[in-house]
Amino acid sequence: MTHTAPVQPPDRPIEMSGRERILDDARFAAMARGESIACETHAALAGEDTVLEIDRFNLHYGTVRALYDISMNIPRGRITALIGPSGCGKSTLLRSVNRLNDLIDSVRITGDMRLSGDSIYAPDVDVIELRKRMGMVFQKSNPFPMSIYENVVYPLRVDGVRNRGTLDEVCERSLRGAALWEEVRDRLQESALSLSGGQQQRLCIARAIAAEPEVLLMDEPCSALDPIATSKIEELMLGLRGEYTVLIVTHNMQQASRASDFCAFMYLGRLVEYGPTPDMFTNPHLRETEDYITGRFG
Amino acid sequence: MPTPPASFTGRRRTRRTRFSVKVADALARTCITIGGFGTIIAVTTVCVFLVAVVVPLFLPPTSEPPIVSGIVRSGPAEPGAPPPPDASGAVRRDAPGGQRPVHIAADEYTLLAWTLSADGRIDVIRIDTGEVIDAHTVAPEAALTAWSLPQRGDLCTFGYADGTVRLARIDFALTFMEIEEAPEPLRDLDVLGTMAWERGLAQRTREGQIRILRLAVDLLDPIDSGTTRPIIRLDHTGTAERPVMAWQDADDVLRYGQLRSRRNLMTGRTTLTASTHTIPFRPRATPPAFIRLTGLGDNIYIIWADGVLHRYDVRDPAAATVAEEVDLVPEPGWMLSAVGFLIGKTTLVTGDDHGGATTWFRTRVEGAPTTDGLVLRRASRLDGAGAGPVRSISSSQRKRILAIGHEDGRVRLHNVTNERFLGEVDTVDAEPVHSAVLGPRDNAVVALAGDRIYHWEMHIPHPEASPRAIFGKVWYEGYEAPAHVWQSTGGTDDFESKYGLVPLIFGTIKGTFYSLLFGVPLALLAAVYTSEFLHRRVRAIVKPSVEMMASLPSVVLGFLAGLIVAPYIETVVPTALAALVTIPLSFLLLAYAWQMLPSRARIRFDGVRILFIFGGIPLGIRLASFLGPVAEAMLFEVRVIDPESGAVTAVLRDFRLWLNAGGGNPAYESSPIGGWLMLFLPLSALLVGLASVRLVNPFLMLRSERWSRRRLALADAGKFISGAALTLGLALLLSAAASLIHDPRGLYIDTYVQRNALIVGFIMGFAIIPIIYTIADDAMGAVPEHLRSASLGAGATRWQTAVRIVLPTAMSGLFSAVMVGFGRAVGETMIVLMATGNTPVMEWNIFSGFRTLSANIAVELPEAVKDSTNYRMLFLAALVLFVMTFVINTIAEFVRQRYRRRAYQL
Ligand SMILES: Nc1ncnc2c1ncn2[C@@H]1O[C@H](COP(=O)(O)OP(=O)(O)OP(=O)(O)O)[C@@H](O)[C@H]1O
Ligand SMILES: [Mg+2]
Repeated sequence: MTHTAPVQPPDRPIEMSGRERILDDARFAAMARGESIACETHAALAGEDTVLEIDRFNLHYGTVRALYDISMNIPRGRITALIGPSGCGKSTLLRSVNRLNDLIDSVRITGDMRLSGDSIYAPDVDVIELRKRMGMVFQKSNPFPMSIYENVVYPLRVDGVRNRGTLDEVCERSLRGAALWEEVRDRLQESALSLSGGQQQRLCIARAIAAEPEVLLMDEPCSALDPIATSKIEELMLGLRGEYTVLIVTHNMQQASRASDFCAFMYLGRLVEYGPTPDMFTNPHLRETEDYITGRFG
Repeated sequence: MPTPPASFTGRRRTRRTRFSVKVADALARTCITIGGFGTIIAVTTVCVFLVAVVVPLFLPPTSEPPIVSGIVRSGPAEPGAPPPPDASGAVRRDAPGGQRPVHIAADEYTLLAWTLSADGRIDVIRIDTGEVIDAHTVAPEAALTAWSLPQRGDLCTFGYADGTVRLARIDFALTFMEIEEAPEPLRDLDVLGTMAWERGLAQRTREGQIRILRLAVDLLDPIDSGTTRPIIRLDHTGTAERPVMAWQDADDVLRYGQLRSRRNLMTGRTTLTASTHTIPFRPRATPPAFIRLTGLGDNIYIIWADGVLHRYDVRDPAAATVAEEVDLVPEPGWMLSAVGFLIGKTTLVTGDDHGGATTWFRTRVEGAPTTDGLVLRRASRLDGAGAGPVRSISSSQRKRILAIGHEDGRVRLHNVTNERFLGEVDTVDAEPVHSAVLGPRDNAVVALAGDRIYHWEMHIPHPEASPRAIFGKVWYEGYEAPAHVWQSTGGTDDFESKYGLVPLIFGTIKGTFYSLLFGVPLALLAAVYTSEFLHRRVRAIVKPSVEMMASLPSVVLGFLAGLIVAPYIETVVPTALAALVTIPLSFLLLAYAWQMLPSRARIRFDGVRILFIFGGIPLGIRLASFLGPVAEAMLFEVRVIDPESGAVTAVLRDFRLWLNAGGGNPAYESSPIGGWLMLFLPLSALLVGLASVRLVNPFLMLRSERWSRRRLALADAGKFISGAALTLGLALLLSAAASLIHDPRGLYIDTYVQRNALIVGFIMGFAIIPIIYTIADDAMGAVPEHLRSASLGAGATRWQTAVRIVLPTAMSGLFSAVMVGFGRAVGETMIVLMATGNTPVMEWNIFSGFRTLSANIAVELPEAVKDSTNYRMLFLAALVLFVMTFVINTIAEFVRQRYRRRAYQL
């Protein structure tokens, strides 16, 4: 297996903040050698009820390794944010959770994930059933070339739901949840492609929550949204908290700190540090985490 | 010192576009423009060329102003100075005591004409001057009382006052001589110059020879006609060796004679023996006006001036009877003034005193009250347009053109079959036209009116062509009813070319329909499979292989179809038909069987799943070879009935016999249910399938939430089996109901022909599958991957994703794929040429052949003479094909755009 990830220690001298940090040169050296590293998982996570358990998960795109021995437990009913520099494998990890990486021929995986104890990667898993337990919002909005209404109720259509009343209700509630209802209530039968980029993304969110998933996977859902819509989405996530589990990838540190309960920092395909959001932002154990969060590298 | 602006890459970009780039851009733009316009111009040129070849079909005939000449009674003895011209510009001198001529005929070059006068005199006349250069008589002994002159050929018959009948052969004879051998005065002739020479006319040809045209009159010895009374009506038909005649004497006794001519080789004399029958004549108050004998000598028409016709059936002369009586005049009180025949002497033409003409021929009519089952029926009416009473009727010697001479001096030309009026010519001083004929090459009209001979050069290019005849139903001679017929060439001289394009258009549509019926579902499903389900790596092999199929020359496919597949399928028809059902069924069965495997095994053997399911092909064939004959025995039973006693003499179980046994054939008895079943089985399968998707599946989905996979599979299998049973039941029910209303034989199934639409559909399906498949696969491949991810991420199966997302998104591309396949099928030539019998029939029968426009062009163009009607008709066929594909493509593009727009706007 070749390893091509160019790893360079930051060339600027790292300014030490006032607090004591764990020395991390050993980690950098291991990463440079292409080895996996142990994640710095905060003790506070131990008390949580796990909904999704990622167990020494590795993923290769052909010969390129994209995920290194990821092990983490996603707590039930909480919002977990995945942060990390571009290309570190956040999307890959998210797509692995509902096995969308199966579509890519070159992908090989080892390790396993478990959703409420049910293995995700066991050979006899019904992938379709599995995916029905998760909703996904993609980094790039991807509405279907159909009407707005049909887009939202698509998961129900797939399940064979025909009752008009149910469909209408789900449509309205999902659109309200995604902060889109007011804008599209009069044009539900128009093509979804006639919406603006941000509206399309909110439509995709509406579609994802219409499926009533156990876990909602969101890959930078707000990157194309204005601050008002963003805050609405955050409201929505906070509203879902408790009943639904949300796993969200974000580049927006404020968003991560505002709207997540737990936060995981990924770097070069490794999970580096994982802990409760307030701790991660105010008292990270590792220096890289602090550097990244404070914008000093990445 | 100004500092240079910062640079990222260390170089500074030149902001001026380089000259070479500009030139390349301009060049590219010009080339593309030229290419675009060139394409448009090329297509337009082809179109214009086609139209230019086709248009002359519909142009009216043209005629030159007439050459008028009086008849110069000079005789052969005194070839002298031309007489002075008269006021009309014609030279004339009245006949000294002779009788006016009653009939005229011209030679091939319309240089000479001969006329018959009522006294039996035959004059040979130069058409250009009217000079009589030779004379004969056909009444050397007794006075001439009746005559019958040939429509074509040289055989004439004459009847005399003493009751005798003579045959004569009268025709122009040509002799050629080289100019050096010619006598002195002829050597000085200009090219095409003429001069009277030794009772004939000499002309110098373009090739530098002298040809001398003379009339040869060979009057045979009198024959005893069985009477001594004057013969007053007479007609003949048949060849010079075996003429057939019918005549009536002054007592109206009707006789029918079959003659045999023998030539004595020693003396050179021809002797005639006649077997004469007296036909029991059914008289009316007045004597009849005309007697006519049909071309085969099987009917005698006795016609009265008031329009009554008695048709005598003389196939057996000893037992001849009146087969029927027909009223020939369009309205009571009108009188017939002339009768004649079209070429072939089958179509009777009657002219009336109101200037119109009507044509009649015998057709077979179910349950006709006549002895021979035929009825003389009115075929067409040629309007006189106010011209005077008809005086003469004569037919072209090659085509169905009539020259009708009128009392008021007009000669009107009609093409009979399509009732097209071709034009008229008018004599100068409105004298009645005694006789008007078309020149043997249809390039002149020669008419005898008053004492003058009129000669018009005519150009009648394509009399058969008229939009009505090409696109409408036409009643051809001998047909039971008007019909669309394409039959451009035939075996006999008096064959009529039938240029109906509709059977060819129909054939094109039929071939296209059946091949699309087979090819489109297969190609689209294959494309869905490879683009949505197949592993990329396998797809990378499959797709190019299918595309290779497209490069298979269609002549090879046609060859396979015509020489291997068709003869083979013919021997296993029931099995082949059963295979159409059992192969898909076996696929389904095996797919269910796969679901029933324990999941461990299923995962372990996932690699061979495809192979396992493809086992459906051999399994289906095996099933078909067993089920086909069983179904044949059960459904296609034919009881053979003895026509006399009505008893069943045999019970046969044979599909092809069953196909022939339909349509009121009294010798067989069979139930039509099996035929309907073939139609309703797929239909009800579709219905049941739809119902199960719409009604049963949602129900099952609610119930089966917690079921094990095994249980689900069992439930599915149960659904499948009950669905199959339901399908069969529904199909049987529908078939039984349909059987009460109609027999399917004659609708979409009928007599089996070896090379048929089924074979063509199958093989041409193969020709269009690759092209449809490739475009469809590309169209689905172009559907963005993120839409698939979104759909799968929402919990849809691959099939749901394919049907709900990929297919609608790729719809415009799929539609193009089908349309391109459609275009290919419409224009496909070699396969249909080789795999159908190319019979231009019009029936939807899947077991019969057809002829397409393109195959027709390929078949006939090599034989067609340039600029002939056939040639131009083939170009018209090409134009129709062009227009068809143009219209299809335009509609396709329109629909495609709509689909595309709908995806964005809804
Ligand atoms: N389909 C693919 N085939 C091959 N390599 C891939 C594929 N998708 C992603 N990668 C690689 O895997 C690594 C992780 O990609 P990923 O999309 O998960 O990054 P990310 O963390 O989501 O980045 P971003 O924040 O920019 O979205 C990258 O190096 C990328 O080049
Ligand atoms: Mg990403």
